[in-house]
This record gives sequence, C-alpha cells and structure tokens, in this order.
Amino acid sequence: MEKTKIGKIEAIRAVTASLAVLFFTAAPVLGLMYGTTCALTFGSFTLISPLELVLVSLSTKTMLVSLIVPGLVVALIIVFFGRFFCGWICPVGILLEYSHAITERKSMKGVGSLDWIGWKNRERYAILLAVLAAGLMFDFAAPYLFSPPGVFYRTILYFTFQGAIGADLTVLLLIFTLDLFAVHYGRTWCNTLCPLGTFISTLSIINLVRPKVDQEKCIDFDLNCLNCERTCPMRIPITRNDKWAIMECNKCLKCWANCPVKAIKMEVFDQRFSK
Amino acid sequence: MRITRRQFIKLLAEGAAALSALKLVSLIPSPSPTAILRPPGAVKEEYFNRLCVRCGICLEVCPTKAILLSDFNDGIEAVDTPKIDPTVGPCEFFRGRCEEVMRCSKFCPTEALQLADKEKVKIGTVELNPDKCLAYIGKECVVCDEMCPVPEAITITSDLLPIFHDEKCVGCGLCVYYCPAEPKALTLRPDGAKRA
Amino acid sequence: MVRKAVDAIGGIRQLVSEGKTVVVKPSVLTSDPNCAPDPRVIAAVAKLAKEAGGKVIVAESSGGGDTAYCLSKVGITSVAEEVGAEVRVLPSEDEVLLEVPNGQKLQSVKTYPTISKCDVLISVPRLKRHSSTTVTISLKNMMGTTPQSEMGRFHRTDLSQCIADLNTVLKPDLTVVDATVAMARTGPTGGDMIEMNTIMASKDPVAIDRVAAKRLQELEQQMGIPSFDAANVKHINAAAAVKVGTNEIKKIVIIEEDIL
Repeated sequence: MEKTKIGKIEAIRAVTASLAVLFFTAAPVLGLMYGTTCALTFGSFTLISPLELVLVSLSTKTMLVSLIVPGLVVALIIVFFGRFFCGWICPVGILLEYSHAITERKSMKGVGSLDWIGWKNRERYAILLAVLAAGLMFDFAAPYLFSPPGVFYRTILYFTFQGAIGADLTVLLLIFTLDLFAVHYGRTWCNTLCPLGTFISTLSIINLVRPKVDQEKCIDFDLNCLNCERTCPMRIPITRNDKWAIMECNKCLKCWANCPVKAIKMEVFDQRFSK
Repeated sequence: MRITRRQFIKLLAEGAAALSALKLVSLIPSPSPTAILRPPGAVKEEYFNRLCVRCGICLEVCPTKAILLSDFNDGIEAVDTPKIDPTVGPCEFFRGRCEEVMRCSKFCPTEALQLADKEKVKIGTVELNPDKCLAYIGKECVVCDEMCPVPEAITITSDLLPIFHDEKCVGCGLCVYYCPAEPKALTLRPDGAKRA
Repeated sequence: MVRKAVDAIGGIRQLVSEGKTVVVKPSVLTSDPNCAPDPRVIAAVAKLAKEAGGKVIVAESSGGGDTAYCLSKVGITSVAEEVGAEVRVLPSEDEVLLEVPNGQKLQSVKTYPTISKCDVLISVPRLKRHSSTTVTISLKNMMGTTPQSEMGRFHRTDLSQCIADLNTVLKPDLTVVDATVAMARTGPTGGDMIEMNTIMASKDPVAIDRVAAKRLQELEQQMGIPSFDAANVKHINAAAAVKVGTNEIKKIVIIEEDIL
C-alpha cells in the first residue's frame, strides 16, 4: 500500500481547522463568543453539542428546557452536514491524519471494505451506548472528557486565560497514543472509539455531499483497484454505494481526488431521496 | 445495516464490558480529600459534576480569572469542572465587578451555576494561620480587614490582630488574594459553602 | 467650598499655571463610594486647576479592586468627563522605578509615568479611620500612586515608615481633604459615616493629616465613639521625622471659615 501523501485538499482542510482554532482562541478574548464545542454562547443565544445535552439529561434525569432549541439547532446541522465537522474542523482528527502520514508503514496491508463489516466500526456503538448508560445508571458523567474537540479547545482556552496546562493535555496525549498503537485503519480513533464521532454519524441522515461511484466507469471489478477505499480515512466501502456506510463520510474528498478513472462524483443530495 | 444475532450478542457483551470499565473508573477515589471550591451560584456537588458540560464559558467570562479547571487530583468525576482559586483572583461577587450580576452564573448554559441573591451565597470559609500572619509577628497589617466587603466578618482586637467570624464570611477570597504575607497567612476552605 | 479653602492658603495659581500637567489623585481603594471622596469635590478641584490653565488628569491605582470599575462605580469617571479632565487608570501603564534617597526603609519605589512626570500633584482623600494606621488621609493616599504589589511590600516591611519614605519622593503639592462626610470608628471600609461638612486644604500633607486627624478625634469623642490620640499616629510622626512636613500643632497655622 502506498504511504498516504498529504495532498492539496488535506492542506485546505488543515487551514479550515486552523481557522476554527483561531476563532475559538480569539473570540473569547475579544468578547464575541465564549465556550468550546461542548457548549458556546454569543451572549444572546447559546448552542450546545447534542451529545452533551443527552448526557446531561440522562445523568440528571431532567430535561433542561432552555437547551432544547440550542441542542436541536446543532442536531439539525449534523443531520444535514454529517461528519463534515470531523473532516474539516475537528483539530484532533486532522492532527491524527497528519500523524498517520508520518507513522504509517508500507507493510500495512491494503484493507478497507471487507473489514468494515468487521468488529472495528460496530464496536463504537457499544462504546457510545456504554457512555450513555453510565450516565443514566450511575450518574457518571466523566465521559465528557472524551469529546476530542472539547478537550483540544479547552487546552487552548486554559492556556490563553490562565497560562496553565491542565488535565486536558493528558487526555489528548492518551487519545493520540491509543490511535498510534491501534492497528492502522484510517483515522483509528475516529472510526473505532470516538463517542462523539459515532453520535454524529448516527445523526447524519441527509448527509449532503457524499461520493457516488459510477459503476460503469469503475475499474475495481476488472483490475482490483479499490484506491478510493484505500485512501478513505473512514474506511467506507465506497464502491458499494452502501447507504448506511456512507453516513460515515467526512467529505474529505480523498476518494474523488484519488480515483484514477474519475469514476467518483460528489453528489450533493442522495439521488434515491428525490424519487 | 444488517447484523446477525451473533454479532448483536457480541455487541451487547462488548457494551457490558465497556460499561463495567466505566463503572470501575468511576470508583477510583479522589486523591485529594477536601471538597472543591466552586464558583458562586453552584448547585449541590452531586448535581454539579453532572450538569457541568466542561464548556469553559465561566472561566472565560470571570473578570478576575478566579476560575481554574479541576484536574485528576480533584477526582475523575470532577475533571475539567470549574473551581475557585483565590490566590489567582478574588471572586468579586459580593463587591466588585460581579456585585450586580454573577457573570459565571449568568452565562452557564446548563445552570450548573445559577444566578442567586448574593446574600444567600457562600463559596467557603477563610482560615487564618497565625504563624504566617504579619499582624501576629508585630507588623502593621490588617489588609484582610481593609478588603473584607462583609461588615463585621473580620474584627480587630485592641492589639491590632484580626479575628475571623466564620458565620459571616462569604468566601469571596478578597482577604486571601490581598494578604501580603509570603507565604499567605490565609486559605479559603470549602467548609460551610451554601449552594443553590 | 473647595475654592474658598484653596484660596485661603494662597490660591490655585500659586501652583498651577498655563499648560502645567495636574494630577488629581482621589482615594479610591475599592468600588465602595464611602471610601472615596465625594465626586463633587473631585470636580471642584479639577475645575479649579483647569481655570488656572492646567491640563487635568484624574489618576488612581486602586489597591482593592479593578481601578477602572472602582472609579466608575464611585462616580468619579463621569464627573471627570463632565469637567473635561482625563481619567487615567494607572495600572495600565508601564511601571517606573524611583529612587528614595532619604528613605529609612525604602530604597526605591515603583510608580507610574503619569505620576512621575506630572507638574502638580494634588491629593484628594476622604477623611477616614484606618484599622492598622489609625487614620488614612493624604499621606496614606499616596500609596495609590504605586502598583498593588508595592502595597504588599510596604506591609511586609514597615507600613508607617514606608508611607513616610514614599512621601519624601511623591509628595503632593496640594492636598484637599474631603471631610464633608468622614468615616469614623474604623476604616477604610465598614466605618460610621458622619457628617462633618468640612473641606481642608494645605500644601503640607503632614500638617493637614495632623490637623484632620485631630478633628476626627474630636468628632469621635463628641459622638461617644472610642477614639485615638491624633498626636500619636505613627505614619504622621514618621513623615515629620523625615522632613516631609511638620506635625507640630504649634507651628501650623489654621485658617478657618464657616460657610453656610
């Protein structure tokens, strides 16, 4: 398998993620916005991560009425844009891709689709449900810690406002270590462990902008190409056009860029819905 | 998404394993024996760690930078929740920039910190270490009394020594912050905190 | 009232002329208005200095709160703007170090450029008691020209002597004491606010502190409040000893006028 090279689109995605970091760093200092991806406020209105909202509701056994709309707004964004956040904004995910580019070894066998049905991508549901059950059954809310963008932005704000490094850096290093030692299946943490990622992919029903393979142009059958699946960080079996698997798509555009016969089109709406 | 019964049971088993792991983690005792000093307007501790989504908003809006984030020492349940450190900044909820409205509580999205009447809030109680106090070693100092915003919470003896009246103390930490002794003669303890 | 008091000691034009930078230094320790001088007194002093041609700056470094917030809360920011004086929050400037050649306990002290570079320094404190220095009037008011860190240093060293030493290099050219309402029994916070309806002015901060302390002592004795001995206030006597001014009542000329 070829070592994944950093291409132009990756660079652009690194820029968008950096701009988000810049925004989250500068905005509170300027008083424009406060908070992180867990919850943020513009003074007049607030947004909250729906996963955090669900965790709060389950662990306190109450519904915070003032947060229903903020949670639904973000949930709606996720319904439409799916894991776009994971692909273009989440600083941890982007950093993981870059660390893979450095550490991936040629000996890794080309994997992809066949393994998707395997344990790694389904186990994350067990993890997410365990996290939610822990909140409900024994009021344990510590899984808030494992929302990587929250951890990352908190590290930054703690440094900006207090000049201190807290527990978050340890958690970040733990996430990176877990990812490094796991077998390389694209963005391992994102695919196999991240509760936030699992939550987002479950909600990404409309999921604008996803790859569609033109089966007539595709050479996989004859020539065993599978380039798209090999480069897909979310390890989606792209050639199958499977509607469940495609919910993982983080719109990184790598499949589209790497297809040697340009058989992949990024379609905005799912054509099947329009029938 | 097709899934066989076998895979489903496997998932359930893995879920149970993950849940047990989480339960074990939740049972790890906190290395630090004392309770945590919470920002004014905090709800009772059993609810606080569950309501707080660790968004960092309270830390960002605090005008004195009195709020820090709890670390693993404070217990895994509380990691990244806000706590007050009066040596970094005093809490100006009783007198100062937050005397009209407590900014942390105003902006907390989940009401882990709730707006409250400042007369009803008590962050903790201050404790004097006479061995470190400048007044007790004969220097002219009662900065604690000068700064204290609560009438009669600190009184001065005829020998110019400060006496602390715990029941009146609101735990704002102004005395701790301004105490000029090196090291400080005052600490703020979470005892006696009145929660929302 | 302020104008009459200042005129009685020679008038503002003895000190302020066209183009001079005049710093008016109120005693704003916290955001509690009882600590600070009445804003109208500040306005009167500022107006007086402006009339004499001075460029007036109201400056302060609050020892017990955020200076900008405190100045605003006690009403001084708005009156300063009304009379056309500039408000400067001293802690936002870079600190400068001043040598204290005649200091007994201080060799140097930190202050701010606004203070060290001004032509005329006017101290405008409220007459108050103090829990450790007995009273806080003009001499102690000068602590507010230094950063908060110096407050700690003074207390750790020898507060009264440090106040005296400070005034050898940062001595106010004019003091106007706001004794319209004085703080008695204790201070600088939490004391009893008692009407005295008096304004005092002097070019000698030791003398004015001595006389004002005496007046406060007499007031407390009148009201039956446990009082103190104005002749025995440590920092006033220390300041006299280092020649900041005189504390000998016999040598102080008091001009009094009743205005109704």
